[in-house]
Amino acid sequence: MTLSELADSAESRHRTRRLLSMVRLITGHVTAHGADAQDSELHLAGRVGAVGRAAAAPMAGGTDLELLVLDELLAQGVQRAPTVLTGPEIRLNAKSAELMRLVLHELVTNAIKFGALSQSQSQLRVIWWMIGPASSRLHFEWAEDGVRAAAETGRHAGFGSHVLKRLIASELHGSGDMQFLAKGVLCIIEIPSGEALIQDE
Amino acid sequence: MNNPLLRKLANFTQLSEDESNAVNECSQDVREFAAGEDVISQGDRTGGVKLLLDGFACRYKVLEDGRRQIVAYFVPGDLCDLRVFILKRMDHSIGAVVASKVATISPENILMLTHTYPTLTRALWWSTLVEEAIAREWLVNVGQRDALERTAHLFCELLYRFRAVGLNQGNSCTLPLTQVELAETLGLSSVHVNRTLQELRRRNLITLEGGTLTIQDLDELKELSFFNPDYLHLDYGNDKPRGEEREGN
Repeated sequence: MTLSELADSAESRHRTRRLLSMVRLITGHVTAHGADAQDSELHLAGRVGAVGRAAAAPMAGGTDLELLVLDELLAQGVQRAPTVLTGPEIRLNAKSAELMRLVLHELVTNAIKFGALSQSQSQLRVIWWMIGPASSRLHFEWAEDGVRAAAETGRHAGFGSHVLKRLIASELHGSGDMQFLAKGVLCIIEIPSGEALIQDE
Repeated sequence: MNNPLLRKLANFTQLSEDESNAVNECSQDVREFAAGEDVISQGDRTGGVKLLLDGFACRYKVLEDGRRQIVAYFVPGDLCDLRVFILKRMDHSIGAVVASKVATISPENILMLTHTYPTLTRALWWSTLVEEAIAREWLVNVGQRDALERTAHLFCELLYRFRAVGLNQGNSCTLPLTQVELAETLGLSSVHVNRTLQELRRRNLITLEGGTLTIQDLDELKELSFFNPDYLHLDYGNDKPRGEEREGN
């Protein structure tokens, strides 16, 4: 075994562990909050699917952020492109790509059920840029707009917010916030680039 | 053996000289089509069976509002539905993607061939089954695979299909498709296709230039897309695809 293969297998063991703890988190959430069995099953299947996609994604070379957003929209059959989807080329490392995928999965699910992807007149902007001294942080925004009656629906801080707040902080030393505004969801994530990005070789 | 249909069927069985001659004699009614021209359009009377001799064509459907889905590609040697003349009218269109040569085999000749030559008949059945297997993979593609996987899977398939009729150059083959056409094939937005091609290039897996696809790392591309060529059934008399032997020649 070469050194790089050794590193590779250590990295893939780490990934397996991370993904399994994600599964544990997901199933724990379902049993703790599962009111309607069928609804829970659907959510569970959706989240396990997202973990599966994370597991199948190539690890070396990182994950392109824009492609990740497009893939998570596609995975739930969203044909409509976001109104705005733009940002500099960003390559996430395996760990941050896994978390971002799960967050995006929750955002897409939510938007299909209640938000910008459920109504034709509403808009979705997904934008990101680097901020801070020496571009030290990635700033990412998912902003829905023009959603009718968004605030009255049964949207609540659920699993998505949990992943966002807890895991982004504990795993990536970043911050995440999701607000359910009258016109739709506003989700803002910031992660230190040293924790999350692959610098171009 | 200049008829690509014969080269294709050789992946399944060895045809006799009589059978090969009969196929050639039935493929004499040849017409040329320009890029973008329909070989036959939805609603047309079906008529004879189309055989692509040269070029690249696709089968597609258009929705009322103009959205288009490409549901199959034809490489030289492919028949556009062996039994189509059973139906009265076309329920889809077949279009030449680039300038193409197409032979029309009359229904009488198809019936004559299948009545006279049992081995040839089985070979034609085989090609029909392979077409159906390809359609199943395409359904899996748009139903389950992510953008990178679907694109990579399609590229692997095309290389194998061109190889099977000896029209590859090593790991290169012709791919005269625009990003919009790829999007219409893969069920992706063109932004998504663009980003996906960029990613495949960045990973040094493919180059796509001037209508030529070159797969730089076939093993890696196959692994990425979980591509298993078994569904193409190119295994006559050998475990390796016939194209791999040719490549060494």
